[in-house]
Amino acid sequence: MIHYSCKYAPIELFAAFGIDACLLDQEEENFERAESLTHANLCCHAKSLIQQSLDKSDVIIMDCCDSLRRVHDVLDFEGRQEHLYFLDLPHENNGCSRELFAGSLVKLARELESQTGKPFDKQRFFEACAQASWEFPQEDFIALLGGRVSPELQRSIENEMSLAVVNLTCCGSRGLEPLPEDAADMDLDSLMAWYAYALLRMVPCMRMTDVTGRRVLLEDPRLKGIIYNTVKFCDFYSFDYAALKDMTALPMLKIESDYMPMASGQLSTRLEAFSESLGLPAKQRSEKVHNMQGKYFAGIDSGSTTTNMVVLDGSGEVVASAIVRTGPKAERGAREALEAVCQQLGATPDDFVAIMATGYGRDNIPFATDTKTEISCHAHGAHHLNPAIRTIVDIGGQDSKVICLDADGEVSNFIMNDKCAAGTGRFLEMMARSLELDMDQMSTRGLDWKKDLTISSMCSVFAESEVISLIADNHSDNDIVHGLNKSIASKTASMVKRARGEAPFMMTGGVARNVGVVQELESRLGDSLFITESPDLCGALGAARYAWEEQQ
Amino acid sequence: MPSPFIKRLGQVIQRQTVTSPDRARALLMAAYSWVNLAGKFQMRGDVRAATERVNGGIAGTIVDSFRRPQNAVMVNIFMPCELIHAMGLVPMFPEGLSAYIANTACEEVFVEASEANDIAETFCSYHKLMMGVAETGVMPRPLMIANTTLICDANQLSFPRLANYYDVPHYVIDVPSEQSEDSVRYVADQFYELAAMLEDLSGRRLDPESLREVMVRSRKTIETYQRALALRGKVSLDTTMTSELCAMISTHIMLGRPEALRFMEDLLKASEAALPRGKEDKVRLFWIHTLPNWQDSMRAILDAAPQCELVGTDIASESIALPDPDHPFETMARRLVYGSMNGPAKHRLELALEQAKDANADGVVVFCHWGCKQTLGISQMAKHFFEQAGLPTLVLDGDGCDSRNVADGQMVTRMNAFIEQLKAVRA
Repeated sequence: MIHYSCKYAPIELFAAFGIDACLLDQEEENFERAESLTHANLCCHAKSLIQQSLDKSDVIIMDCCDSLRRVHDVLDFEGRQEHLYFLDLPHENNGCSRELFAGSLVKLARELESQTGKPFDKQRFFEACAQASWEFPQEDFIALLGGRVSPELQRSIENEMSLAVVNLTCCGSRGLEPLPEDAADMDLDSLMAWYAYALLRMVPCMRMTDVTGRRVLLEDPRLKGIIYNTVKFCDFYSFDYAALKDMTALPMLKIESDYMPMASGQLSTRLEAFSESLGLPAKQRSEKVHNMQGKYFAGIDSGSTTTNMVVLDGSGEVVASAIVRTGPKAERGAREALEAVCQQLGATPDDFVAIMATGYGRDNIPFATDTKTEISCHAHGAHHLNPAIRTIVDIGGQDSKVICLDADGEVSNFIMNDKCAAGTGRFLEMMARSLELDMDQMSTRGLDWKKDLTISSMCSVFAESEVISLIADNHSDNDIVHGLNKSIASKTASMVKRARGEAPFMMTGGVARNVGVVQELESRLGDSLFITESPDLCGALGAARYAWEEQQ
Repeated sequence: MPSPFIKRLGQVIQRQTVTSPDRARALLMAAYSWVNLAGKFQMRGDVRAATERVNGGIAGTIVDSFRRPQNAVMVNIFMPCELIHAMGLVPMFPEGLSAYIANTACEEVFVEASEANDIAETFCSYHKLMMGVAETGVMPRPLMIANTTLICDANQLSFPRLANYYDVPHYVIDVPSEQSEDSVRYVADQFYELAAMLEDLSGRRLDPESLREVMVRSRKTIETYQRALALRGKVSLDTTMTSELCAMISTHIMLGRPEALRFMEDLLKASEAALPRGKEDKVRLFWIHTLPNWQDSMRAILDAAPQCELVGTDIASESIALPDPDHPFETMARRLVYGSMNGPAKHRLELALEQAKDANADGVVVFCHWGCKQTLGISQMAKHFFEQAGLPTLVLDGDGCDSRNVADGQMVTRMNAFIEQLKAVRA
């Protein structure tokens, strides 16, 4: 059995010697072994590949990128494989490069002949080549594009989407040209010349010099949307994504994966929001019975730090609201919020017609009658509060988002930060702890600064040590907090640009209460931010509006 | 922290970049013209003066490429440039420019511009910065872009994007990782094609005599450098991170130009002059990969050098076989194919070990520049490999041009602890 990781690997050649091939593509629980042999910042697929290859006897690595080249070096250095093959892969697809590649394939064939003691079996080679094909489905579908996705991640995506999902990432779309008619009469050199041509003719991955052939991936009329994956520390596909945004009008969702099990809450929020923006039916849920005798409609936003609830009466007016700490369990926070609004209204849970849940904990609220993502709910709430708004900046406890709206208040684009805490409320809390300040002090201290300090570190852990160094150098709290505000504003403004957000801007989420951050962000955006008295409640208001509108 | 003047200049350039990229470019040109001028007035014979002279030459090249971009060919740092020098064209090398920008304390606006245009935060900072300089409109449109696939994937991403951005012709020299004569022929053929393309686009003829003259100078430069390296293990020199970076540029992009030859001659003279004094009692460090010469805390340790001395860098001497003026195209191809940065990591490590031993190094620093998968990937192997050969090794995470990816205090602690460790080993 030969283990491989790249679609350009000549697995049909191995088949000609009776050797089956197995793709190494699984997720890993952690990268402890790989990081002890290489570096934490190597491509996450490469790290998973190192771990999966270490105990395999036969492995082929293609020289297709810097990271895989280093995977080969690590495996070679460790020396545990019986056979470790490394094959040069040209970047070009022209006569000279095909000749060079064909030469490498012939050399490999000779090597396999001597290792296995078997001759090159043409028939087996032809059968394997005939099996290497792919095609678009005959129904509407969503394409998975970009960097490779693990089978585990692909399954999670398929489970969330109501359309077929087709893997067209760098390792998908592996297919060879039909064999030439006179293949049976060809000698090994001629066959390898054709095979080199066929391999280099596959839909190119981004490491090739000429990537115009990738256009074919977008040309099928049944393609309804794109989920674009980038793998952490693999750089190729952020370039492709940036170019693709200008090339296609198809709806796109960008996700980042790291070959470890993904935080399901964050992934499902994005996928559900994407489904909502495509107008696709939501995945099947058990229907909750609405209490038609009730008189209130509520939205509950279960976030990582706080759970927020807004209640509307039959005419759609806000009659109660609550903000409580979420605590360790989403359900408990939600019940506390419900109790708080019931107390305000002198009501009981039976008085609610519908309760729409949103936020990370939305699926864990037993008394909710329906759910919607916080992306849609923020947009809906913001549009209700100020229909002119075109871009929402939401900075909550554990994530930050930029949501772009069209004139009808529908989501036209959104992006979220990934696993990194930099630029979120959690980041500010960490820094406040280092400075021994409370959050109210953090909000105002940075306004009265004297020395213009810059906290340059991108990473919140690095930033914390930078802050500690500044404290040790006797810089004032005010100057340090101002530096931190600039850092968050810079990261957020960059997200706004990436999302192509336009004025008028609105800011929601707990960090909107931080005057210093708001001021810095306004200066970076060159425009003012519309902020309501309770910026935390926008998502819950949107959810409540959805609940109310559905009954009208 | 940079000097107050540089900091102020950096702030002004950053502001101008947003409002008027032309003014930002003019300010950068004024700053680098000053560096160029300052280099011309260095009369001393030591390594620092030699560094300032060649640094001035490099800064002058940047200014030329900005002033007459229609004669500039944008290249990556590993592209052999003898064809370009022989045709009287100017190399524009944005990765080198990134290091200069970092030393002008204005990198932030450019890096942020790239990230706002969807470039991953984890991408190589040199390339991220150079794209920011281009896409903010500060770097002017060159005649064409030519890059090698060696030594890293970043070339395959940044340069096609810049070619598209500027809408200029683009040529890629594809370098196979197999070190063989077949690979040399494959690469040499591409240099012939590139020469034809340069002739077409510039309207200039590639005069074989001019190319020969440039190649002869390249040969002299490498010959002189080899002689200086042969003495390196016996002497102590007043080197700096910048002098090592200048050596790197002199054996790559500037190879074939008089400034590079002069630098190597100065280096040899300084080595010969230091020979009678022998080695000083300093810890001798051999460096792997690029150097963070923008970083004050590292300058305090490595440039002021009260306790240690940089005795070499693997990239500067990764491919220093003698050029053959009779076969210029094959020479350039051979330099790429047989360089230690091509092919398996063990080639690179074996050559680096030989160089470190020749330079009488006490220890090795493997500098993991942010985003460089080539060096990150070999860091633990390198540590194991050098330590097995008796050279203690420090794997140091940092960034050659973007302060945002650096934990300064942690780097200082690691470097100082390593120097203490090496001193203890000596004692």
